[in-house]
Amino acid sequence: MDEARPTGWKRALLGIHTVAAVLPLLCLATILLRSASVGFAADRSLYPRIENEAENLAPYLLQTWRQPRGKILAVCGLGDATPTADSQSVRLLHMLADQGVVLRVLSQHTNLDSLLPLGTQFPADLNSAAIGAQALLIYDEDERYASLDFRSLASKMDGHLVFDLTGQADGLAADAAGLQLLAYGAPLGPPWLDPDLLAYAAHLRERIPAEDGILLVMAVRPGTISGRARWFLHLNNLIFPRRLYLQDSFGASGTSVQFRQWVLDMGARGGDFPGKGQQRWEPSPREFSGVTQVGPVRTLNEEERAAIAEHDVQWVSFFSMNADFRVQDWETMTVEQALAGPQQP
Amino acid sequence: MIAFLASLFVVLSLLAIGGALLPPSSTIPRSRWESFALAFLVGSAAVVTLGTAVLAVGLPFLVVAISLMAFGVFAILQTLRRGVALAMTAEAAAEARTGYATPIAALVFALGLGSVLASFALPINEFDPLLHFAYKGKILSEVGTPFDEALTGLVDENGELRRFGRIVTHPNYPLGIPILEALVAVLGRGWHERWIQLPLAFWAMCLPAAVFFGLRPIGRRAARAGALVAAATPILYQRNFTKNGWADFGNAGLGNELTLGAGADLPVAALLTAACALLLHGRRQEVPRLQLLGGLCLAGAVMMKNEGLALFGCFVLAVVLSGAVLPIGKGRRAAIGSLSALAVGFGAILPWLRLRSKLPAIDENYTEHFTVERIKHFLGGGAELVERSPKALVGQADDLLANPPARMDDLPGYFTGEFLDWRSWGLLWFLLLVALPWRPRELRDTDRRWLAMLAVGGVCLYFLILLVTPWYLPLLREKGIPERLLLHLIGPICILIGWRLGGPLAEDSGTFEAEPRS
Repeated sequence: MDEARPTGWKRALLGIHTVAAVLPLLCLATILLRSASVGFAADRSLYPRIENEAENLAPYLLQTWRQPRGKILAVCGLGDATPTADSQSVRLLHMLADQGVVLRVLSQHTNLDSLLPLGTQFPADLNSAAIGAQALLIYDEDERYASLDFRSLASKMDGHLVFDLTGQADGLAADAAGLQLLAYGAPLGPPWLDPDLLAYAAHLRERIPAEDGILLVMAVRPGTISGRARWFLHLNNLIFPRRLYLQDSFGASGTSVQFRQWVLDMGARGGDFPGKGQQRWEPSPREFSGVTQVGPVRTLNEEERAAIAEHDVQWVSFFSMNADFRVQDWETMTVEQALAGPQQP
Repeated sequence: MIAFLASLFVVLSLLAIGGALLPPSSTIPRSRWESFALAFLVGSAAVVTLGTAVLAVGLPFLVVAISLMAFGVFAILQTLRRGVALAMTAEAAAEARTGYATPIAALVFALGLGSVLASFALPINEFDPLLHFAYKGKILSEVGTPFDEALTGLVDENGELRRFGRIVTHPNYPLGIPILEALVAVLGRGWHERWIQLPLAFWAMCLPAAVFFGLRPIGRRAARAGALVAAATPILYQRNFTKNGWADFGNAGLGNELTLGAGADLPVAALLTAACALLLHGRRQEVPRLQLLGGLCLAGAVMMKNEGLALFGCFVLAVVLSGAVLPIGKGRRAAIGSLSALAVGFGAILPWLRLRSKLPAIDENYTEHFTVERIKHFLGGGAELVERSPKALVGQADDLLANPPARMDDLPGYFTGEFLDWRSWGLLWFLLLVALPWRPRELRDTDRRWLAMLAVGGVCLYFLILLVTPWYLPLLREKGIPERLLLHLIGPICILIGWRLGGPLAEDSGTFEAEPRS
């Protein structure tokens, strides 16, 4: 073998390229250290949070009410930093107050009168803030609002909404208390790590025998083309080998372009949805969610009834498509219950 | 614990089976690093091709698992016995050494070890590995056959779309990775999303070693250079790291920019590298067995991802058109070995082609789109398929629809952007430019010819595939195309670079071996 020394330019090129190895070395070390920091388990806390601008948040919050004027909102905190006129929290509250929302603010900061909208109330504690409130807005990221007693709060509130801008609120606890949690600050983790999804999948694994079939039925027209809304993909994986059937599953399982087309096709579909031939109803009590009057159950159409017979299906899972997984959007029942509909004994 | 032990057994079995298929290191000298890598790659290729063949004839996956257990135990025992019996001579041991200086050896070792640990530091945590591959692994381990409704249930018995069907992404993706994952699940009696990754954790470590082995007949300096270039290329581990500055340290290993893990691009790259290395070494040293194993590894690459099939065609074309299979003159024996290797490769992928024809396709039906008319259309300024863009689908792209850009306006830029992206590639593409056999006397070397044709042909192939893709090209760009495809070619590229950077000085002075050594 020839072991002659290579020319200088070759050595230089090789040396320069080898310097690039610093990047993977740093990357690999970072991966190992960060994985170790969460006990080598995939964890949503590894992911960065969503930073929403007040201008983007306000319309979302306001559109949850048909008429925001006069609605009472209990606000838990204004953020860790001392608020100023430019703070996201202050700008958001001004936008809400401009639409007539009544604000009750709990904050550790003082001298807020000049910063916050005229008429803002400053209750002594969370319990008094919650009395008669239509909604709760969790803003602070310190420990005070990390684990709220949702059952106690729900008993005092008039409404059922919780706006969580911290990503810390326990969605399952809120749901169990009958509160609708709308998360706007959840970590940007991947959908398969969503704790509510994992809890619901565990519930289905426990309830449904492995050899059974489940028909997925969409309650209403899909309202989003977000790829994240494809929770049925992850549920299908998480509860395998249970058999899941979905209408036009080819498009739903396809590439992101095919999925978007599937959403549009579903939206353009005729008389399958409530108000167009089908009737909404809700079992009492609900199988998993504690939130009532927003469930996804409806009567089945002829195609769906035929699919049940054709595919040896024992269960029906009704769902509403949403970019955030909420257990309130899912309801699973036996085929017999689903076929009987609201007339069931 | 049992899942970990099962994954360890699968890895040891792959190593032992591969080791049994390879000639002993006393006859073909190589370092332990190379032996480990080649044994792992050859063993993996053998298991996934044979496993696919077993499934294709309708036998249950349990047969694959039991066979692996039987062959694995037998091969492990044989390896232990052979290891004692075939000690290398001092001369062979000296020749087997890589000859790396200690700091460089430490660097390559750290990258290899780091890549293995990072591969299973977290349970599977990416969309494609979870849903395209691991889900199929669950089907194999729980249901036992790919012909189950879980995989075929998008369509009915006549191939018509079902009104209410099963949910599965890319049902006709190859089963190589699912087979390796399912073996751990079956032997470990359960699905464990960390330990099913263990047999998938060694590709990045093995790839540079395979390059080293391929270049051994050219010279150890060439081998060292080629392997070092491969090991130091960032995209082998993650792409675009630090593109977003310090923020990327917070996102390291999260998201689809990680090459390591349970995805399919790295296995394709590693097995194609092994195919090239074994064919090259076998041709130069006239060891037909190595060439046959190269054919097996080529088939193994086909079993990992759909693109493997396109690369198989590119490989065959490169070897045939370069004249490497012409059984004339001094290269006759090497050519016959190469022909046999291609025959092994063809034979090994036939079961998969049969199986694939029975699975529904969601997309990537390249042959349907890969027509001369379509290529001419887009090369001649054909418009981008903007109607398939996310905005157009929701009626927010009127301007784009009214004035769609030509696809060729963007596509060349995507490739040149990658060639210049030092964060992902270092100097790799510039080095390839330098390493191509430009001079006539270099072109007379058959092996350099087929390697160069494979590397350049592969880039051209992927360019053409993206030129005719039925999808909205900018959307593919967002998902890491074309760099994820170009990664597949890193093996032949690094072999060419090693040959240039570390090849014999005689090459520069004009004396150059045109034919394989005897």
